[in-house]
Amino acid sequence: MDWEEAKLHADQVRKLGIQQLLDIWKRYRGNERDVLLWGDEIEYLVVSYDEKNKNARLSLRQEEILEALGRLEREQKETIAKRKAEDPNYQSEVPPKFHPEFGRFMLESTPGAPYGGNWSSLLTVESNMKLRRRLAKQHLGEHEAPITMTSFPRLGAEGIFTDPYFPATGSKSRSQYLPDELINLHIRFPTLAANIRSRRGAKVAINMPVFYDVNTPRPFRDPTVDYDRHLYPEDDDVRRGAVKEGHIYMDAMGFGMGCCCLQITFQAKNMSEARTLYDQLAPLGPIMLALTAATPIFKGFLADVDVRWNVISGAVDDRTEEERGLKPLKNSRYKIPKSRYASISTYLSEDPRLRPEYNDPNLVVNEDIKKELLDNGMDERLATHFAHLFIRDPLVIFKETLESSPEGLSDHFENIQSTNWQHMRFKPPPPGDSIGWRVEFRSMEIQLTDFENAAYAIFIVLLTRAILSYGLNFYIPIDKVDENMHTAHAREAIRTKKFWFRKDIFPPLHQHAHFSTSTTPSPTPILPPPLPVEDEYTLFTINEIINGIPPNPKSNPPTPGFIGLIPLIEAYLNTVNIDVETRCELSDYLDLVGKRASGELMTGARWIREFVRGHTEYMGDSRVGVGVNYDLVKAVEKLGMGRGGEVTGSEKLLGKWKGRK
Amino acid sequence: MNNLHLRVRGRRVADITTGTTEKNERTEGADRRAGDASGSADEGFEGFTRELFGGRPGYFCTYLVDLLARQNRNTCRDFPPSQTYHLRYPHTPQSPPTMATPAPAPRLLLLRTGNIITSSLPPPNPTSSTSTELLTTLLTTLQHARSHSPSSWTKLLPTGTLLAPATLSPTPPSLSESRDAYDLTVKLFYLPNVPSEDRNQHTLDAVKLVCEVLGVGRIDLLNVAFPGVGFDAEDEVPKDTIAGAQQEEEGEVDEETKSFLATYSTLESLVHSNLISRIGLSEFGSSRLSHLLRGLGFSPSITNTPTTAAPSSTVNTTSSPPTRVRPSVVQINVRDCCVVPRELIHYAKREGIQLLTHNDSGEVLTAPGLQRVISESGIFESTSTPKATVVPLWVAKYTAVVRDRSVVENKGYIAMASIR
Repeated sequence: MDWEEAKLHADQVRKLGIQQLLDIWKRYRGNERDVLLWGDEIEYLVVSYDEKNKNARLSLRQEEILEALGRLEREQKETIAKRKAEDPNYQSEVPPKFHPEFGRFMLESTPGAPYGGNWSSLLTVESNMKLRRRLAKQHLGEHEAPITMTSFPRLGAEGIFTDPYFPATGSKSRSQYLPDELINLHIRFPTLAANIRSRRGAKVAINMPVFYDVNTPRPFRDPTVDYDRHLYPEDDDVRRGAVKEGHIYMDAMGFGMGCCCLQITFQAKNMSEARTLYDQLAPLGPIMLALTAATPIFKGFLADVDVRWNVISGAVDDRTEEERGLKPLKNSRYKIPKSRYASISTYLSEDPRLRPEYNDPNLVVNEDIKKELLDNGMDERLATHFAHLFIRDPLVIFKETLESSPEGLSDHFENIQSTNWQHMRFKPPPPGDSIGWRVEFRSMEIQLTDFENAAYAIFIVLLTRAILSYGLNFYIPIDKVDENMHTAHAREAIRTKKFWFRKDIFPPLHQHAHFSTSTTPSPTPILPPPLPVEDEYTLFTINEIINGIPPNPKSNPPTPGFIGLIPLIEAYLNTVNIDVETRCELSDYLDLVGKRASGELMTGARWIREFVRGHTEYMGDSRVGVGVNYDLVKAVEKLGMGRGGEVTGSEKLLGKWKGRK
Repeated sequence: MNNLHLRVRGRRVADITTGTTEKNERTEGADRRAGDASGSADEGFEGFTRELFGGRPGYFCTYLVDLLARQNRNTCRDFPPSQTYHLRYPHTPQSPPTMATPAPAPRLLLLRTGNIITSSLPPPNPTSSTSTELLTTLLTTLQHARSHSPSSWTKLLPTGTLLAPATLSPTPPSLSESRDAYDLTVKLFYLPNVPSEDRNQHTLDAVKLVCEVLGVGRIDLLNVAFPGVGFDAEDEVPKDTIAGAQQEEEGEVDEETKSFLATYSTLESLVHSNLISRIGLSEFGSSRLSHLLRGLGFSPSITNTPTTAAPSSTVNTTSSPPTRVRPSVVQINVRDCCVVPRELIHYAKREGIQLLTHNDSGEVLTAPGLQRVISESGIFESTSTPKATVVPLWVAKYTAVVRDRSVVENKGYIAMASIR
């Protein structure tokens, strides 16, 4: 349905969605003792080289590639089934899965089966990622390669950046830069792009600050904007001031949804643990975004940011002018402060450590939905969370789904839920399956190599175990998480910026201990009165958060120091039974994360930026030309394929090249 | 003491362990909600007091076992106390003790922390050394117990054992899920200057006390750390180890190995009586390990002489006495870097032994350290010997990890010291 028609059904979809949510919640709220299962999602760009013209482009062969990979998966499964029939003891890994993504130049891969909570499975993460990359590579043409770059440097730049070439004239995006042909052909995706534009009443407008290099003209006015195009009514956007001075201008969903991310999903033992993990990981979102920074180039220009986040946020911002607060509310229901793609706006755990002050008192919620959830017995915080997600309209509606029974399904619920692209996602069990309550950690940028991707994935997994074991408390007011998200964008945020973080992350002494020495039940331990909320957190560098601050008893007043997340994980590893070889491999991963935080190793963003600035063809004018892009993509491909030894300067990114398997 | 060791190593230990194990299984099955256990922590001690005062002096070394029997009753409501009583002790005296009896001087000190994983991480952080962690958490626990019930925070048992804090098992029960959900590990540190012949009793005490604290009947892995046994990567001279072992094959077992073997037989008896499932050795390099394995009668698994090699290295073969239990684990310290000699890795693999890591400090509990905890907490203030000095005997560190989720749910220490 196009937007004019879809919006008439929005309330109906929300109503059905809430009905489905309540069914799921009632059915699975009592889930207990689900084991730890987790998985990663790796997204790839498929590049196609034009060796004659030394150009690296995006390959638009997604359907053929996925078809081939799907065939492979089916064949492998059949072989395994056959072997199993012959030998019941035959053990085999489940073949990895590949999925379509928004961009027709993208692939997404997941392990065939989730990883478990045992140590040996952690050591299969990197090899599984490598296997997936190899499989993808095998199903590409000679001139094609999968790379794990967040954003294609010359996406939307002048000249040819897709294979095959298409002019940017499509009616779905109506973009000056991106042809509709680079959108996944499934009807859902072009409709999504068109409906976001229609709902908004204009094209999306993304402005990222340019990196002023020595020869960049000042002030920078994006030279690639065509103010004279009269193809669509939205061409007026640029004439009405959509372009900001000093910024790189982008005007289509593809700029954001064409980015690759590293996402991790965990299964929790029950709903309550999932809610705890959701809340505790939320303040880490911006920290991990800055730590994984890998996106310094947009549309062929070096940007003054290192991460992708705001580009995606702007690329799917379907809010009307009224919702954005530019006009008084008349046709729209709410003023909404953030895009659908943004950091979370409310904590949702029933943890007593969640002080009411941490949440936003002005949170926008759909009051009718909240009331319905409360009337059905859902608690205040969870009801608030979903009532907040349900302020959004469904963007893509398929008529046939409105006509069939919603029972036993989650499609309408997911229509709203999965188009709320927040940095954490709280995932109820899919109906009819044995999967439990899950939490998805979504802020990290994809890394150039699987070593790095495995390192960050494993870091987060280990961190969740430490959070649960030690009962850690990372709560800070939610608006400080937003502020950190903003800070994380800064170029070299790791080396130059400070982030809000909680000072004392441990539970108060004896909160859980009961040393009853008499026959009467022990009274609740007397806790010191809580600090004012503003005294609970302060500004830290990423290095301090990750590697810790030693206490200084000699300073005045004495400072208690801060443990640091890596020492904390190490303390956890020292508490559990873990074999020598696993421990050593995990040390390599923690080492990488620690050295990125300290600045000893470069982030992907810094490495890419320095690669460009050090390239002989770069003119110091912020422009990343075809030749520079070609060499960069080639280098990135080598890094990804485990041939980093051939890439000059790879040790600045990865440390001593270990010739990893 | 020797006389009692014999008992422990002989028939009696089997009786005791069987009894305890049975009861604990019942305990596990019972609903162990917080409320259940809160009833009468002191009741057990009263019963126990009665029993001992009724004329069984000299039964000193079984004090813990008796204590356990009484304590179990309190956490297991479906098991009538009287039944326990008569099953175990048919000759129970009739007359209760008079409380006017002067308190004896304490002879042993039994200390424990609570669950330190979430409750009392020593500031600034949990990465401090094992000894700092132990001292800090002991002190915190004791101070807390004292401020909580100033008049009854320690308990002097008529056996002469002073318990601090006064109860052994915290309420609510330590583990929230069924026993099978956990990997329970105990690391037992035998301390320096304690006669090695006492280790048998100490081992039994430690394991049973941990079982009691956690409310379980069995520990999955018991790691033992001998004083002065330090793994040093440089000590591991590859070839010599195996060659040396071969040369010595016909010779005498050295003194050190003899003493390990004596202790090891206790560990084996704990496996046989199902109190522990696996045995681990802390800081054993391939040389010590091969000596021990040979002492135990396991043929060395030398792969380069296939014609004379033992049939299998990973299972108990007929070449070993059937009661012998192989160590399952060697625990080594990898605090700084991963410099584990390849030789040891290969040797352990051949022998089917898992190499696990730890980062415990060498001296886990010293007399001065313990003395400081005692004076700062004031344990002896209310006893007849406020100025007593102590000699630490052993320390047990235990951890309960939820297997399917790798979450550490419980961690704590128990320490025993003799009082002079």
